[in-house]
Amino acid sequence: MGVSRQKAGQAASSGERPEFRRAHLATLFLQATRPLSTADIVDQVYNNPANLELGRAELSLDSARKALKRDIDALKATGIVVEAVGKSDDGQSLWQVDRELSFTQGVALSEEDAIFLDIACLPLLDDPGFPERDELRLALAKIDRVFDAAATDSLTASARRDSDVLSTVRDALLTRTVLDIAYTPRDGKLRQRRVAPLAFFDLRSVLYVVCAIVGDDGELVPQSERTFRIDRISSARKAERLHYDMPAGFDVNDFRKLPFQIGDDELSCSFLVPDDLAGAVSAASYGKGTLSPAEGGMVWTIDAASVDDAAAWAIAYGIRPLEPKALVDAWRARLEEVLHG
Amino acid sequence: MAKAGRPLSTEQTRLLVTLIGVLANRGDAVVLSSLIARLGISEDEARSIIDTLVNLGAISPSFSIAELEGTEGVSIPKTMHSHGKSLRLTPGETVAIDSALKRLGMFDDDPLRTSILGALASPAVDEQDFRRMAHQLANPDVARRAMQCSQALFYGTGLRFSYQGSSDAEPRLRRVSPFSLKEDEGIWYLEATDSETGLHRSFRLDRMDGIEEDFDIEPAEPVEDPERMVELVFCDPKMLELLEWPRLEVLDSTDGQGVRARIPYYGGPWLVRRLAACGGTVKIADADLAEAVRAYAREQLG
Repeated sequence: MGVSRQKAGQAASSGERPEFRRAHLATLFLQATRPLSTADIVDQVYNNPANLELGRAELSLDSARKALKRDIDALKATGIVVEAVGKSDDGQSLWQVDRELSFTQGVALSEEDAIFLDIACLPLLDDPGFPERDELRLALAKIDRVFDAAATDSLTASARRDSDVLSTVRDALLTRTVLDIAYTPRDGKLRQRRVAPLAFFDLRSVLYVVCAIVGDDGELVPQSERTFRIDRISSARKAERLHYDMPAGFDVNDFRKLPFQIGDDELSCSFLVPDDLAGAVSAASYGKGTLSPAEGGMVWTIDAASVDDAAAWAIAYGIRPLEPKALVDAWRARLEEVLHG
Repeated sequence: MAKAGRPLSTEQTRLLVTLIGVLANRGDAVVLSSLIARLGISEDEARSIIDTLVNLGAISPSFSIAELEGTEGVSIPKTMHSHGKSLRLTPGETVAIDSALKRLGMFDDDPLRTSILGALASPAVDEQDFRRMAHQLANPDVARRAMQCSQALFYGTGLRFSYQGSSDAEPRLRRVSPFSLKEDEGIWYLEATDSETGLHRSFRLDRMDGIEEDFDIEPAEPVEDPERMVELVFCDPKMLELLEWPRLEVLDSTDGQGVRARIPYYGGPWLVRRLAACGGTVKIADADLAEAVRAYAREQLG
């Protein structure tokens, strides 16, 4: 099955894959009705006679112990937390699953509600703006234990998978680990940055991550938060030993911008919104800006980076620009283009 | 006899362990086609997973892959025990579920969210992690409506509800046969066959009211109304990012020649306004729609 690329001393044998071994370990622990000694585990997983028949090398107890500890660490990523719970009579460590950390506490949902929730969330697996598709796929399988019911056979889950960059950024965000990224902004110049990812948001199915810049001292630079498009990050690597705390008062909604707000400029713009459109505009704008009563409707005031883009947005939502003049002129020019080409 | 098995990636190992945990208390069949469909994996991956379950002893070697009511699958005897418990969500999975619920417009104190996270959440995720997720400003009733639509999808029943579409002067009763849910930039849609016309329609969940099951509707395959699809050419692709275009289908995109696409048009001002917003940068193949856009521009300019 190919030459193992693992280093000497690790639990390696010709052709064995660690992922296969870890799944075997998971099965063993889930089926166990009593704590297992290291020797039990070594005999059943690492030096299983069936595996040895296939030509795999027998591991020393020391090598197997080291492999066991690495595999127990790896199992945490699947939700199975294994702990040492004492010693056997012959001095070996005893291991078992930590039930409180590994298993559900109480009943989350009825089986029926779990199915309905699973179906309701399926569309998100196809949304490029949803940053946790791979994680959601597994979460839904855990919640809906009859996920493969024939009644829902026609409801297919998207096969889209998250990119390696997204997976790395997401993992760094969850574990609050500093990241080194290679990023190409609109000017096309590649830049290297050391950042602390704080939150995701999406806009028009484009995924963004808000990050604080990390200084040479390993600390977050105050007020340095910036927004990066995930699809413009060409590489991301965790700086494993560097962690950070969330800045006090951070709110991702402060960074979620409308398309006409993306840019360095901030020009205050106001629009007249008919009463019957106020709700739709508020929802479409994530509640940004301020609405105040006025004759004929509501006045919506919001900052824009591009008056031309803001004018287009106003036409699309059926609202009229009021100020500044540049915004009104851009609005008129765009409508004139419709008439005259 | 154990087989060597196909190599698995780390992601597939998580999937495998998730399935082991899920199947621990089941004594029924895992159907191959459903695994493929619901987990979004290939047939090779699904077969590899079933092979591995056999190799690991999660499935008794005395069972083999069998035909189950015409579908291929495997029967799982109740040989596994996990003390009657299901696996908790990992921290990443916990955050993913919270994000999904927020996407459905569910508030943090919603009983459904509280129930799910209370029982399943990883203890390693704290309130600060939950607060980092951007909240979707959707109508919070959307989550409840999505669950009602999911129920209809699961049981194959019809639905009736009051609905005001973009071209309706006021709400009217709709009777439909649902076939899927869709989400696009935080707007949730029920894709269904309209029982009156037999045509495929998208209904926004935030515009539905009074949803009830309708057992008198026969399931029907939807038919696309070809007269309702209009072709467009976007000479400025930026307009596709500036505004949302639900159900827009890109046909082809060539440098220098713009993006050719099509979108359904059901009348009403929604598409007219959006095309007007593109100024002179969009070519509209439908003459009536193009005239409606010009008329809107004239009206706005006064």
